[in-house]
Amino acid sequence: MTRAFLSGLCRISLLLGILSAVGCGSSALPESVKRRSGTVVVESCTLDPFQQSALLGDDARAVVSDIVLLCLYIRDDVAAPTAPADRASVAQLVSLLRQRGYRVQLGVTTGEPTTLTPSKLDALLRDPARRTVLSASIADAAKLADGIVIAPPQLANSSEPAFRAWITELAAMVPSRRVGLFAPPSSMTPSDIPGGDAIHIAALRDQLAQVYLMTLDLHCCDGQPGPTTSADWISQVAAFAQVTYPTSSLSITVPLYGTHFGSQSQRPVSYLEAVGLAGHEHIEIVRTNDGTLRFDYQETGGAMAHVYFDDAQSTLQTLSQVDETVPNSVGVVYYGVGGEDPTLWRTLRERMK
Amino acid sequence: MAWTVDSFAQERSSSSLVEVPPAAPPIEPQPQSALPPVPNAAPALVPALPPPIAPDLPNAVVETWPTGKPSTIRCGDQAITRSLCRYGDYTGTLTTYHQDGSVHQVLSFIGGLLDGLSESYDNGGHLLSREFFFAGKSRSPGSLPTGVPTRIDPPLPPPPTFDSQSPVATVPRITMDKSEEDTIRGLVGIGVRGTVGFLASSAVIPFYGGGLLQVIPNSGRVRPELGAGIMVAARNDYQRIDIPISVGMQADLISGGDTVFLVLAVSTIFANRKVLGSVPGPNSEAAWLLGAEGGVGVRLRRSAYSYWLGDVRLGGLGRADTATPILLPQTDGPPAAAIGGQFRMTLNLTFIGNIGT
Repeated sequence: MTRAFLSGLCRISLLLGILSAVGCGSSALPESVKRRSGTVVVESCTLDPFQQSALLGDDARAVVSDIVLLCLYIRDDVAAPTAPADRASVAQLVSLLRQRGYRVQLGVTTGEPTTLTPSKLDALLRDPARRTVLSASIADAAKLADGIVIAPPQLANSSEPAFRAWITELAAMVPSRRVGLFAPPSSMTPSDIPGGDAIHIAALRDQLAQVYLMTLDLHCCDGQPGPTTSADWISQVAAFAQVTYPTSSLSITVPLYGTHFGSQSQRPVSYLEAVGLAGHEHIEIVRTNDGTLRFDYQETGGAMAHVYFDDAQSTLQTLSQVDETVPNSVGVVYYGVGGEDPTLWRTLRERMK
Repeated sequence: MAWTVDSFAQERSSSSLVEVPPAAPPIEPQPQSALPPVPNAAPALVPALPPPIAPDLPNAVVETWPTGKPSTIRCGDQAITRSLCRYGDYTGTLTTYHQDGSVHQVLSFIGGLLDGLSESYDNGGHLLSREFFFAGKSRSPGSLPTGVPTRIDPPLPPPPTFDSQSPVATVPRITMDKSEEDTIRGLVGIGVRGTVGFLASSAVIPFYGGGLLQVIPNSGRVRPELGAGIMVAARNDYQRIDIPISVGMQADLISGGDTVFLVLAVSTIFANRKVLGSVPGPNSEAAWLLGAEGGVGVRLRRSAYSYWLGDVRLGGLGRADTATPILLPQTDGPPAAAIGGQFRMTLNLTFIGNIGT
């Protein structure tokens, strides 16, 4: 009788095991991903506690070699840190990060929403005198760091000659010509990205030290909520870039933030905010087939809000799928450090081989 | 051992095994019999008229069992009903017995001669023969007095016989009547129920199946059913284990072992859902549910002590606890409770074995 009872228990366990396998089959972490040069982007001149915790830890350091401090804002034709940061505080932060072994670059941005057109930069770049002033300010700031990365807003396609001239002038002024570019993630010619043809990367390949393909905000502008990026999209963009400007150093980008698609607007959300919001609304988070996390809830007014975000598993799954077509000479940018799943760096450190 | 009438009288006078028949009613003076009362004989009835004159006949001999009860009355080598003898001048009814104590013959005498009805029975009390005598002789049925029934019970089955090749007795097959074949015996039925079906809610429509231990007292056409078991609700993105305890009633629409029945049941369910996909947030959700269901089914009698039940049930479940339900995102609409109000339909197959007598 005891044997029969145990046999029955085993059968029940087997049934539950099968159900578990069916239900959890999609949640297995990839065994490993390719080791790639890693860059993180900090959208500030200072580090908040989350960013400090991440970047000063050993796990992130094992995965990341470069940090871009996106903190030089173009104001009055010059690029400078915005208050409360100043040149001294930026130098201090760069020094701190260098002590931890990172190379630090300063990012230049207008701070404009990517959808704002025309950008004030269009007019500035078309004026050679103003352009020279801007380039000089950037070159001066570049002395604080190991390089400069330009993060342009959405430009009019007609600004392409002016933009090309600006980058050429800037590269000549920056020591060691270390100028990088956050490039539109085009996957075809003409570009399938709004304003993508304003930046002719192939013509700039001799001026740029690194091209960072901004494979982010996949559903920013199509009115359809969805994941912030996808492995298929990244692979297409990287493949196009490798063919179009093969001599450039390339990086693809994965997001460390999610997107809250509200009824009125979109905004980025951190992992912790998304999880907290789901808990507050008693919503179960669902993992989609491509690994991304999502949930929906009814906002106060009754309208539906949709939240898509990533965790360590989805990021690892994305990188694993990208590995199938993208060589490991292509680096990876982790955009939005501080908003990531707290287990991300440890997971990447363990599985990036 | 056999006695003549005289020797029987002598033996009886010294034995306590034979009852003394009651004396004749003292209403009228009765002629004294030369014979003593017969064991177990009913009170003698004395006819109003003197017995007919009979020729000089031999005396009958009464044989008895060791218990002292009369076994037969012989006339020479034959029973008294097959020949003509005189039993003294005995008047009244005389009873003989089988060895097991059951009545064998009831004989009526007047003046020592068989006169009136005489009947014989088997051990089971079945009437084997009935004859009417007058002055010691059997009368044909056609000449019976008015009002005397002539029907004789149908013959009984032959006694067991022994095959010459086998020492085992062969008994003719006993066929039960229809009510016996339809009867389900036993005090209470215990069995298992297998269930397959589905749940349907605004959040998810998973498969629903499992098994229950069932107890069904054998209380006739309306009987309770009790059940407890384990159920699984499963889909590729939904996994829940339910532990239901149910109480219900089954009511037969027709009588008999094979029948159609209606069922109504209420249940309380402890549900535990596993959150799949290794996602942030709770790993599981537990809830208490209350539900009711109704259905129709058939009962097929397998034997006097076991039967099958097959039924289809429709019902609903709802949350009975106060915890805030976890909502599941929907592709086309607002989120809905993962464990909330739900409809269910199940097909059930139950095997029940009855115990007790």
